Amino acid sequence: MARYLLHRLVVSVLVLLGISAVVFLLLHTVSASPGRIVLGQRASPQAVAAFNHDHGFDRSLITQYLSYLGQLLHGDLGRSYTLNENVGTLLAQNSGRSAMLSAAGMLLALAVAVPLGILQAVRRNSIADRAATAASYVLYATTSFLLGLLLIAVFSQTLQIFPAEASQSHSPWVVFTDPRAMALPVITLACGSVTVFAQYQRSSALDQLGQDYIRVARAKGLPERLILLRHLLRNSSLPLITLVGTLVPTVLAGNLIVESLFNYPGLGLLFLNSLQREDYPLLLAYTLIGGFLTVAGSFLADILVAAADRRIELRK
Amino acid sequence: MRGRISTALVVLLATAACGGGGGTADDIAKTPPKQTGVPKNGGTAVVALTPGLSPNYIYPYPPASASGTVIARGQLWRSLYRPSGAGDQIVDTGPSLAELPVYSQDRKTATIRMKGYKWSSGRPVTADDVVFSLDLLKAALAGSPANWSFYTPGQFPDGISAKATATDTLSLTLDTAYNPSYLLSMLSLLYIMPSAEWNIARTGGPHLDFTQPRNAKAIYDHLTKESSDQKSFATNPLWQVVNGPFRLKAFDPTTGSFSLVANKAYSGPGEKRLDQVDFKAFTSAAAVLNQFKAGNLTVGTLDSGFISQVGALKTKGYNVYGAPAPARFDSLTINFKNTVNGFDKVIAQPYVRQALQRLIDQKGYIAGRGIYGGAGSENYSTAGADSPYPPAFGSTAPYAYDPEAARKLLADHGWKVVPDGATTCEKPALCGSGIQQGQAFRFTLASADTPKYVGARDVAFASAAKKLGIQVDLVTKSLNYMYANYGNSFAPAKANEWAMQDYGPLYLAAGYPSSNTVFNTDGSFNLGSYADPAADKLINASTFGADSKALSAEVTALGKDLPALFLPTPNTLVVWKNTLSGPGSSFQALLSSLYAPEQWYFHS
Repeated sequence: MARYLLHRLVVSVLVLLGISAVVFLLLHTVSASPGRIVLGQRASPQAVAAFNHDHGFDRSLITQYLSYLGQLLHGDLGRSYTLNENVGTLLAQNSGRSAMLSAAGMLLALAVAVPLGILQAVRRNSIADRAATAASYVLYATTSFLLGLLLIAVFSQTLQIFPAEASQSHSPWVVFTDPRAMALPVITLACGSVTVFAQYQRSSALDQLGQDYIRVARAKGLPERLILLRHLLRNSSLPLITLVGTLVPTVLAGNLIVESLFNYPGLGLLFLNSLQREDYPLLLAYTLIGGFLTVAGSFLADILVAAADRRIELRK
Repeated sequence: MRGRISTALVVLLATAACGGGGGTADDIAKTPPKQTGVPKNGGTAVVALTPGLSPNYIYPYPPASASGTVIARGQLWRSLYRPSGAGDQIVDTGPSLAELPVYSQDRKTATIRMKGYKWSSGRPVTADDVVFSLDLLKAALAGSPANWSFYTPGQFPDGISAKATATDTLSLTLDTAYNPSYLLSMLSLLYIMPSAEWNIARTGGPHLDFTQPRNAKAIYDHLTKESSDQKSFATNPLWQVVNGPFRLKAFDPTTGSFSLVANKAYSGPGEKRLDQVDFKAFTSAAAVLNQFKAGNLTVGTLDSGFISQVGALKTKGYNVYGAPAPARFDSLTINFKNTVNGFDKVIAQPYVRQALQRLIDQKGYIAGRGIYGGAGSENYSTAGADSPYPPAFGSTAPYAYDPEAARKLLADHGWKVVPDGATTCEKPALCGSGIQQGQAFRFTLASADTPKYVGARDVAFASAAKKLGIQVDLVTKSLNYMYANYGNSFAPAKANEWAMQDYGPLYLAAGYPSSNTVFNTDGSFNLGSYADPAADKLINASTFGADSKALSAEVTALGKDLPALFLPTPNTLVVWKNTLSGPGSSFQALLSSLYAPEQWYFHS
């Protein structure tokens, strides 16, 4: 186990280093002159040259990259030159709210999808199963943007049950402190995942229902409720844990569309703005953290699956 | 409840069917409504900030290294002359801090008399404050020419020295005589800051002689450093000394939203009836629209792409006024250095540019549902709408849409026009210098991927050209890519990658829409290397000459010579609650992002 953890750690560091090098190279070769992007087309050549010099963009790529790595070793993610703030501070300001929004959406989706998937598997090919599958496809085909707009039109503008704007509070706990204002964003986010989770759960549960241990449990005369809760739920949820683990980086992506539609300033929006203005320090930090979360998410999923299924042993 | 749900479903279906609340260009007021109602004191107006432009700086001149967007520009600190938001004049003299300049015979000395406005501390706004502000601007530029985006090396504020000859009198000495109108437009960009309170290099430090460049630099560094601490914007005593109608009450560094309250000492025009103005940051244009529809916003602007929502906004009790922003023009920028298919030789011919302009159906583009949806205005000059320097041809297009006239122009000049085929030069002697026999008429047009109407109008143009056998190869590029790569002045190696480009709007100075730097031969923003000695002479006259109307001559000549092909200008939609009123000009000024909430009031 310890060897496995060490191995994964070394590989993760190498992966992150590789990501940083590739993204650094790509970002800096997309545009020959970041100063032109930031200062605009009408800036004089002298102004652009001064900007590029001030930020070191006139130095060689290798010098720039090594300098960036040196900064990282000191825990400095750089300074956003479009938002006039340290990248670390910006990420800290926005990450809590985005993470809480994503987590709430994911938990709601799981709470609906897991029982739904199992129910569909148990009642396979029934009218309810087919109706749920059809509804899932419709929901899957509906983009978050359209779904959000429709929810706003119905629940905010017509029925006036929920506000059209997400909470503007700074607290990351707004899901709990201002649930009314967060209802529509969380529901919009959850709807996007319910379909995937439910279909995944249904398929996994169907596999498990055909296994011997379910037949044995039934032959022993165990009540169906116990079979489903104690045996089927646990074993059929294992693939879902892996899926959820791979979705951890979406916490960073911040569910851009939902944040944008409901005016919820979080990480997703920060990323979009930095992308539009080619704010390299922010983009690099994002990519690195995205890489970190991807590695950590899959790592975490492996551990959780091993904990849930004792037949699995983690080794190099 | 069931009834409400039924209603909701009907709305849902209607939304899905027609894409929103319904509305056409006819629903949009062409002029702002007159002031109405009995004014009430008090109330908070909530203003929508343009998405993506939330402020992050408070010092009026952010250094380029910070690339800041300034909080409430013009609300906390007025410029020496308040820019006009209407576009029909350079400045608005009412809220300006000084009387108009009086020039010496040789125009190398300008005497300016201050009006006696007060700082929030009660101290008068003096000539020393203007000297201080100019010295700080020079200190910023000495640090880096990138520190002021309006700067052209060798021009304002280079070669200008300021001296307070009395508390209320300023004397500007100019090394080079400027056109008075041009200089006025530059002075409208000079924000006046408090010399007695801000002339320090550290908090609690001694007051310094700012006329010494070294001190001015130290003061500038201190102020920009203080402005980088966003959390202290509303609490730092520095930023509470203002000469504008408002002071900052609160700033949210996370979102960029902020609140203003009245500066009780402000003595300029306006009834100052509102208690507070909240400027709200938005993540997207769709979020702004949703908040309007929920009735949570008092004032804001919307892109013309939301024309279908005008009906819904009016139903919710909003006024909607639409017009093109002053001094904005949209065009196809021509690259005169592109040599692919002999384009440089072909486009150098004035008759060719005239023929291409005649293929642009401005009326059709405006009416087209997929292009402007009715929310646009015809434009054939660099001056834009309602300029005080209109072209001599007025609103009559010099080369109106007329494909047959275009065909004839080409045919008369030796081209064999093959509709939907390949038009080629048949008689080189007539086609023009350097154009070979058999030369095809084909070029690349790079079209920005946003906003949507840009691609739509370029497709319409390419389609019209095809009907005359002119092959326009459309390529879509990101705006950032175009900004960084499509300009011969800074990326000459890419000259053959684009023959024309459409990157959306270009904004000149609203009150004085000079093409200085844009179409002069050595202009830093002359993207396509347009070069015409006559145009240079006219631009020179509008910048440095004595004639205040020289700009009209420049605008007329450029409109006729076509350094770019002119496209119609999309309208900006200004939206505000009909419970709020004020002078029409204060809402019109929103087209130029100029806010005047001190003139607004709620009414019964």
